[in-house]
Amino acid sequence: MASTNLQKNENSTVCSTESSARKNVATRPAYKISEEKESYKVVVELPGVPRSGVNVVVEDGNLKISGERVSTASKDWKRLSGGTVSGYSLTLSLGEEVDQEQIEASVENGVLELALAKKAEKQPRSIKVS
Amino acid sequence: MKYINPVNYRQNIFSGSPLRDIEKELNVLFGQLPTWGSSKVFEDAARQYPKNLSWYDSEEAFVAQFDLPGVKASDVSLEIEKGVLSLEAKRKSADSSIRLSVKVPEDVAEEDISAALEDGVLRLTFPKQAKAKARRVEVRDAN
Repeated sequence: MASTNLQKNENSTVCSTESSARKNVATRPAYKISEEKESYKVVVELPGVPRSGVNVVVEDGNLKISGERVSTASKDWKRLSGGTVSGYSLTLSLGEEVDQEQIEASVENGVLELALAKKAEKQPRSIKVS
Repeated sequence: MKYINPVNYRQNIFSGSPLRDIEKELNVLFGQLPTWGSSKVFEDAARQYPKNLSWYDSEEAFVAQFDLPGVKASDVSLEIEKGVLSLEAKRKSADSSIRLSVKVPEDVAEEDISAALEDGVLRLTFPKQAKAKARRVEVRDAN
């Protein structure tokens, strides 16, 4: 597991060196966290990143979210301004409450939604009064 | 390349700021949460539009692109009046709407302006009128 991820990182380094003509900076995306009864909801804005390009990795108690923006601009076009954000990277530390095996992710319209289930023992439990 | 990791500099940025308290609260909830900073950006996002605007010049048209994350194509309405394009987009997820205007470049065929939304990025295409396009002038032999 660890070695696979390391490999991935090396690859991305090579990629960014090759495309250094364009300013290649991974920006921290806007995100929002809210707590629900049995889970935490994390919403991350990743505009320009197609669903297939969103990476969510749980590693060493961290939730790592990244994605490269796919430019829809043709290479023949002359860039007049803007276009400096090439990708996003965000690392969130998971607390002990989160069940790392139960993380669900969905992407729609450039927004990633994660549902992080709380561990069963951390969920509110009603106790019957006899 | 080293990506900037919020975990690395969270201590410096928020020490001594009012956000620190909120961050502490979140740390209680989340263990070690990086920063609260981005969440504010998220809330204030509506004020910062157009976000990440870029302009391109293709031979045929001017193209403007900017971010509209969380917006469906059916929730965007566009209007052009007196050389200004006004956009209104509803964001159901954030329960907010985005309003912004973009000045239409000169020498653009207004009636041919088109818009496309993909992965939360809106692209506006402003086709150039004939006179704005580069024209190749043929040089003929005088003889």
